[in-house]
Amino acid sequence: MSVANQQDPTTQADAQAARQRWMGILAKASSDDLQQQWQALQLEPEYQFIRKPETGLTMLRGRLGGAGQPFNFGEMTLTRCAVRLSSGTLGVSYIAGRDKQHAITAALADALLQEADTATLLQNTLITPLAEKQAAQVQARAAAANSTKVDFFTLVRGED
Amino acid sequence: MAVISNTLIAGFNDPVQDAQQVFRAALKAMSEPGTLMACSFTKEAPEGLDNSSWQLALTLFDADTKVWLSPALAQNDAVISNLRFHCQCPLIDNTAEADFALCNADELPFLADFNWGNAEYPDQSTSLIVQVPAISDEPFWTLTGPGIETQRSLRIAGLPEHFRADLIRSRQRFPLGIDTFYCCGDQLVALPRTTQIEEAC
Amino acid sequence: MYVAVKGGEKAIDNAHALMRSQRRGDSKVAELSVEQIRQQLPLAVDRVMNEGSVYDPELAALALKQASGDAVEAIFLLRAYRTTLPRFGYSEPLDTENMQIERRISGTFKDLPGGQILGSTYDYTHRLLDFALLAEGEAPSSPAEGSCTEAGELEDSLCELEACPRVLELLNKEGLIEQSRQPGEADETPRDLTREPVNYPAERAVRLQNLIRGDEGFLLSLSYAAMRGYGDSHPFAGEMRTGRVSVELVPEELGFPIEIGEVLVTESEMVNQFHGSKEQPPQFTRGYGLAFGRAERKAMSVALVERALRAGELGEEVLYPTQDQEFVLSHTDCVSANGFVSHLKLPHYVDFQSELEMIRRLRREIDTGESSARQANESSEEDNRR
Repeated sequence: MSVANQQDPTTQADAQAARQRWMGILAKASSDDLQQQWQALQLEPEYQFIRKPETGLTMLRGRLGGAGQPFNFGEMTLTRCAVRLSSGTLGVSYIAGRDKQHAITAALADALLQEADTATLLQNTLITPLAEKQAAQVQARAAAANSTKVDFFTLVRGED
Repeated sequence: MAVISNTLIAGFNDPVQDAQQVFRAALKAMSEPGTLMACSFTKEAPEGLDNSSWQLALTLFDADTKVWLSPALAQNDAVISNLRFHCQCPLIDNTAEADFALCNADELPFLADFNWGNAEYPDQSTSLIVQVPAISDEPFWTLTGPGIETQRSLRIAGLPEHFRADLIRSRQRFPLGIDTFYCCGDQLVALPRTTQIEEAC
Repeated sequence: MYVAVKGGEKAIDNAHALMRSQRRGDSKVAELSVEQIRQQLPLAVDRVMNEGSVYDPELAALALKQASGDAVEAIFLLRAYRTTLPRFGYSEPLDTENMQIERRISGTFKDLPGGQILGSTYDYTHRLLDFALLAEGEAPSSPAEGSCTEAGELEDSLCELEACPRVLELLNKEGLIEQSRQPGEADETPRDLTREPVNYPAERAVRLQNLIRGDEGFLLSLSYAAMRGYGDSHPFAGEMRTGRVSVELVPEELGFPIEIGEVLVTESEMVNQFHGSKEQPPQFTRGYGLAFGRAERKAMSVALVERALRAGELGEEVLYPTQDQEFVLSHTDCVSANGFVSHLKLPHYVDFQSELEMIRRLRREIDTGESSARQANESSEEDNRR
């Protein structure tokens, strides 16, 4: 695990939860949004590819009846990448789709978010704005769906 | 065991192209048994792996191939972490279930312990990758069979006697059998189950 | 059996050139972009993704463009492309209960926790051609940014959607429907039909995987047949939902799940009566369907056929083709079906020549047989006359 092993379990769990969150936000961001925010930061970290960005498939699974045993649903394109900063920190990305630049930027951001001196900056200027944008999209979709909410009335069929 | 990130090294520089080149080399090695091939698409291999066996692993192993490692490799963090990170291959304890086995020559189990395939699907056998101290075309073994025009000579150092004897005898069970790769540094040679082996001396 | 033929290279090149120019159509009309197909023909894209069995709207749109809109050809292209990609493992099972819902309806209960949400639908339209689209009029705005705002409903609709538990769980509380799994039952790794060939009888997970990548028309007709009397099926649409679901996987190097994106899926749960058996009291049983994108017809057809194929394991009599696994599962795949039908176009010259020879020979034999019989008759008549 890349998080230092000496940390006590709760901080480690917190660190993991934080990383899960930002990796999800980086993955779900649109490539354009991500590149725009990233370029504005003007960071040029030194890094080495541990895994060059590559596109493949992941088999999506569902559950029988929605909650039963797993079954293979169908595949999805996926691009992954791993970089190591000169400090030794490993950044990883797994992004739905085939956008290699998205995968590289997300892996670099994942690495820098684990570094003490860049974590706050990236959290505030990259993750937070992307998260807000995603939350707004969720809201907008919920609003559109809610506007089609319906109450059906059953009409009593006359007997007499 | 989790992947230990500071043991990770870079994989192929160009994953698609390089894996195809290595696959081509492996195919040539298998189809022209005893021919020495060189693979140098990676600069370094995890501590404990030869460069050629590492490249074979990057090319052939994936999430759907079960891999058995010989004891010293199975205890090697760098080997395990890099295989799991780059190949996602499940590492298993039972030789009989292995799709691939990656072994040091001095740790080879009995050939009978691997999966030899079955009459319906002889192709489902274990493919064996052995890391050896030296490979040369000095006369030691004389090879004949498909992919060899007349005969070819090959010397693979460090193979235990039981293994050499079993490998020669295993040809009697064709089409069942074990296909083998031998790796040393960048070098790669293969002996598929179709190759007849005679000890020259 | 067909044989190899040589030649025709130039003619084939020209035929392909002609196909490309026909696909382009009149060059005075602007060319259709892949992004336009993706945005404006999303239901065609969804079908290609489902039967191509790859979730990637851009690739499916590209395949449609390349195939001149022929769904089966586009599906073939996507399947072929799929084989060039490595597989990086398996996702965690999708959690469809926590879907961000854009449409959700039930044919069994009027009032549901979370409510019925119509979303975007062709249901309730009058199926009259809309000549405004022909006149390239302005695109209508969506209700969220249009009429609702004006009506001052935005504030109401801005509130998060309520939680939408599964409708069939309502029946589950009363124990009137079969459980989708036993309490404490551990997950089993499902077999993957793209890795291992299907053996009959196939287990439920493999059957479902097969149906989901199966031809929509074939499944629709089968489910129709099952309801019309060739399958003893009297189903209700328990629930249908469409929306976004988060995709998670556990990378080896991390050891914990991460989100890699979202997929838009449609899920259908069908309810069927079950008369009960010696072991089980009468109760409802379920048929389950899941599909990429907005694909209700597909998801419902999958659910109906999925239920029909459970006949054997539920102890029902297997009487109809729709309940016969081998009949259904080995004929769902449009790529296989198309390949087999299309291969008849390949040269069968030698085959046909041999059959032609045989028919000629048989005819000769009959003719000579008849004439010799006639001769024999005539001569015997002559004999009689004598």
